[in-house]
Amino acid sequence: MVQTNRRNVMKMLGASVAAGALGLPMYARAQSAPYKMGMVTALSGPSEMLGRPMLAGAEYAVAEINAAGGINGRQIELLVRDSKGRPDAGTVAARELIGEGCVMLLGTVSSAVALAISGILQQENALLMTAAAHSLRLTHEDFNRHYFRVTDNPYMRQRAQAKLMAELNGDVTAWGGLVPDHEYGRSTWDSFKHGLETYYPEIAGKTPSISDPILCQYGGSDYRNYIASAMRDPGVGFFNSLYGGDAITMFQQAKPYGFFQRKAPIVDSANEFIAARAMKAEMPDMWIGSHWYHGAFKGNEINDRIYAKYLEQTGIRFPDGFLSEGHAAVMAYAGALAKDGAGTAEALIPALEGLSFETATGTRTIRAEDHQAIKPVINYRVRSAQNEDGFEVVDFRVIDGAETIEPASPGAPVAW
Amino acid sequence: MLADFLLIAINGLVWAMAVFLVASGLTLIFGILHILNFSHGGFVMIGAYLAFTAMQLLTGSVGIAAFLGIAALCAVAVAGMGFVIDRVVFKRLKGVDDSYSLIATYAVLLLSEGAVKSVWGPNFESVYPPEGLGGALFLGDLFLPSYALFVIGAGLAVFLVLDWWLHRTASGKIMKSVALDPWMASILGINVNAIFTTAVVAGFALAGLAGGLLAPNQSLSPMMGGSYIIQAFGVIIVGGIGNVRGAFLAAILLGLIDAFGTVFVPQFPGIFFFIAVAVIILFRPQGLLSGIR
Amino acid sequence: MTTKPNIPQAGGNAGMVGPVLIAVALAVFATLPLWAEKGLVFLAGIVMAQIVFALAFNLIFGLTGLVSFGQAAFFAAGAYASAWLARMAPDLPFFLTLAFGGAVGAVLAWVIGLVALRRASGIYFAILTLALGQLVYTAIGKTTALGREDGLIGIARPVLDFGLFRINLAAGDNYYYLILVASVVLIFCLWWVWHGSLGRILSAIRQEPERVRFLGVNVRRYREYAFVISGTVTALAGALMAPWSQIITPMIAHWSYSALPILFCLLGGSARFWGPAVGAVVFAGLEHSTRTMVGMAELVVGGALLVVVLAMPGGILGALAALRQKYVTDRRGAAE
Repeated sequence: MVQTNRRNVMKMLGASVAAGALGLPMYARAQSAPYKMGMVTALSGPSEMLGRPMLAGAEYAVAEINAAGGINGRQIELLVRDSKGRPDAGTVAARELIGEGCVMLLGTVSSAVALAISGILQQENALLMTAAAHSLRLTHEDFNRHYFRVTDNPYMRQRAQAKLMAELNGDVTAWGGLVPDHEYGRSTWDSFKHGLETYYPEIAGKTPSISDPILCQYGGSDYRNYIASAMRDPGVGFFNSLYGGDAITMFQQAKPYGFFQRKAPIVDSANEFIAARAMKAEMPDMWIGSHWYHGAFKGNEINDRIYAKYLEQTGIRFPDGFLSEGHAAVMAYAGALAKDGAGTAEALIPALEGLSFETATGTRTIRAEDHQAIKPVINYRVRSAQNEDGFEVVDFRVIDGAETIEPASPGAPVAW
Repeated sequence: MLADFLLIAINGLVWAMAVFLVASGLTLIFGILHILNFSHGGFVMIGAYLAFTAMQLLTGSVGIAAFLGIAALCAVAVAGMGFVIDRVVFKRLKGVDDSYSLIATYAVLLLSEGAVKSVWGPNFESVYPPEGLGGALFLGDLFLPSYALFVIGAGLAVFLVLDWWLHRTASGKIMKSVALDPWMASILGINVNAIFTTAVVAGFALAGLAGGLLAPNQSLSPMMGGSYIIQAFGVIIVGGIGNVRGAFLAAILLGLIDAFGTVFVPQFPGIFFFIAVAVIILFRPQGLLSGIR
Repeated sequence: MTTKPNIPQAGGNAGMVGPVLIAVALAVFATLPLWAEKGLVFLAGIVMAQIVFALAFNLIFGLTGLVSFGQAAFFAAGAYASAWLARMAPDLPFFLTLAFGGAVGAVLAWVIGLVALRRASGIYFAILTLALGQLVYTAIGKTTALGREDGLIGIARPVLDFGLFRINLAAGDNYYYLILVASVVLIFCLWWVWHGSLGRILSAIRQEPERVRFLGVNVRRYREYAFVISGTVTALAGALMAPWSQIITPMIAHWSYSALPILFCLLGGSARFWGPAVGAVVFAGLEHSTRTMVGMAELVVGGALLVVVLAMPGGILGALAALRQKYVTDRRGAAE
């Protein structure tokens, strides 16, 4: 259990000096000591509002498991560090957690933080289970065996969105897009475009005409010129993968131009309820991609439990999917620990590969080849309403992720 | 094509006036105290959040008059904070190197972000234009959001009032004389300390006003404080330090360059602002209009 | 934003106190991997690179009196250039890729210095360097070979081949010690410039540019020297950091990264050679201590910074020196 390398010896020396003769029983306790999981997520900075529900979800899962007696008779201890949304701070946090005995890391909102941590996993012999980071590189070009993704990816999600559009709006064949000018923007657009080209001929029997996407500056305060370009674009349906504050600013500035009257349907890649909660009665009508929607899984015990608890704690009636994903990341590790209780990276990797486990969106399976979870893709249609939230969910669709997922190609880029 | 051209120009002007609203208070304080106030954007943000709360309290629709009233109240509230900051921070920076104002006001920026987060939470919020400014005007092919036109009008109005104050009134002229030579001004019997305080309070009032007026322009978040500040720095430097007219001209020039650049070279969004700033400083190293005016 | 005259003092602390403190700090950094946890060791590696970054910046800021707001461009140039070369030609010796990073930084600093120093001064110089730095930031973010906005990841820690023996820097804490040794060497070079004849001329230029010009010294050329030396060392610091963090993103070229050395210098005290190093360590400690505070990071860091600045206008070292001065005077007074 305890590796006697130089650092641990030094630490133990320190511990015995501090605790006197209590230094020795540490060996005896090792078998019943808690499993340590380390959460690295954004708890300050621009993505704090995504990191907080993710942390809440993980805490709920840990509390539930511990209340039920733990796993293999051992409790789970969750250690938390702020990544500040930055790769360097995230790496510091991850290394610190590993140093404190966490083999199982989870969390991360941004792909840059996930990529940074994933680079150190092999040498530190630890694992990372990301609950939101969407970069396709993590399971393709830059794949390594110590990395796992518990949620969906742009290929699955944006293709599912395109499929949904082919089913619901088969007559809208002209499409355009507003995407942020970085990898996330490009990979969501490539996936959506690929989906349109695949599913329109197949489902609607039509060939889509797709414009070049409008690349937008990231973190801007003025999107009017991009909106003007979008208004001139021949695309009728529009795809958006700007996110967070940028998306809200863009929606807000696009409204008076009549953008949402001229362009419909609008498909949003990943804004969950973030934009709707901010914009309330001014929220434009659109289909939004999500990790999880509580209304779609009523009757699922985990779904109902975490929804009720979060509502009680925060008063938020439309929680974001980050809540369920934080929960699911812990559940995946718990499932693997139940299969093999050693808790080391060597034991956990084979236990996680092919593992099926229960989550708020039902049973998920981790694909053995590239460690990508196969899970349902959730889309809901939101629009403004005269109620206390200011908006309502008009419709939702759950699409089986297995239908739209890419073939596994760990180590190689996605083949379009 | 002409309509497109006009639309881009107007979009550029909206950006220009939004940045000028932020830059006006910044250049006032810099011109007189030589403090480059990093926290200015933070107080614009506080003004915007105050407006957000006020609009929520006013249930029902908010008219243009009420909206302007709210913005004025934001200006007063932030001016009060400016008075406190002046006493606690700026006064103590008197005897020390100018550069220290950078780190002190950077600390104040962090504090303002933390304060906004603890009062309003980390989530995004949004504010809507008042009744009457939510729609758009049609001029032939041209599509002009009324709120965008309002921002242009507000920037122009603030410029005219400031310009009139600095050039036509006794207190404005005293302000300028203190900026040029505080020592000589004090010998002439001017209470220089009172003028310094006035400048800080006025600068913060402008930040609060900008926040109130621009609240509906973009989403609100605790990170908003940093979003205008670099553009505002560029504008006051290109304009000539402490020069309100220069800042106004620079904002328009940079706004137009950025707007046309973004539309005609879409592969490089956002880069034209910096190219323009660099080129202008190279050819006019003291800014477009130098000296305090 | 003119820097008021303040004479750099040799080491800042007369007598034995300075060297002893430096030795203690060096000992702490050198033994860190033996007793500290991994996160702290990683952070210490980053902080060493940032110390070099800040000390190099202070050569033009504290010594020469120029506020450059575009230093991150050099840091990023060094990091990206060396990482790119290491990727293109993995068999090249590590010191060659390191030198390549430094050379790219030197050329960039020479070009930016040539343009910026010719035209602008004071705050205009600061904003001009900021704008030019942002151009470098945008250029990196749009270059596919440099990974665009997502940066370069998986930067390998190389193997040093000395012919007779090889050191695998990927193993254990080897790379940490390489940063330590390289930082000490770079800091010694900077110390030598600061305290040498070039440093004295630069210091004189800061205090009396007109008088120095009158003496027949080409002021702009000397400022350019300082700018290029600073840019080169900064780029080397960046090149050292890249294999340590193993990921570099354009954020290290962003203006907010340029603000860091300014912060470190002012926090620690820009009038003294070691001031920025103290500032870098204190700031990293502050940031690190807030990593478990949900939603409190800004308030704690901002509040602490403000208190330090208001209470110690000469930076931490300035305040310590004043305190020591007072102590000595009091003792002398008591003795008499």
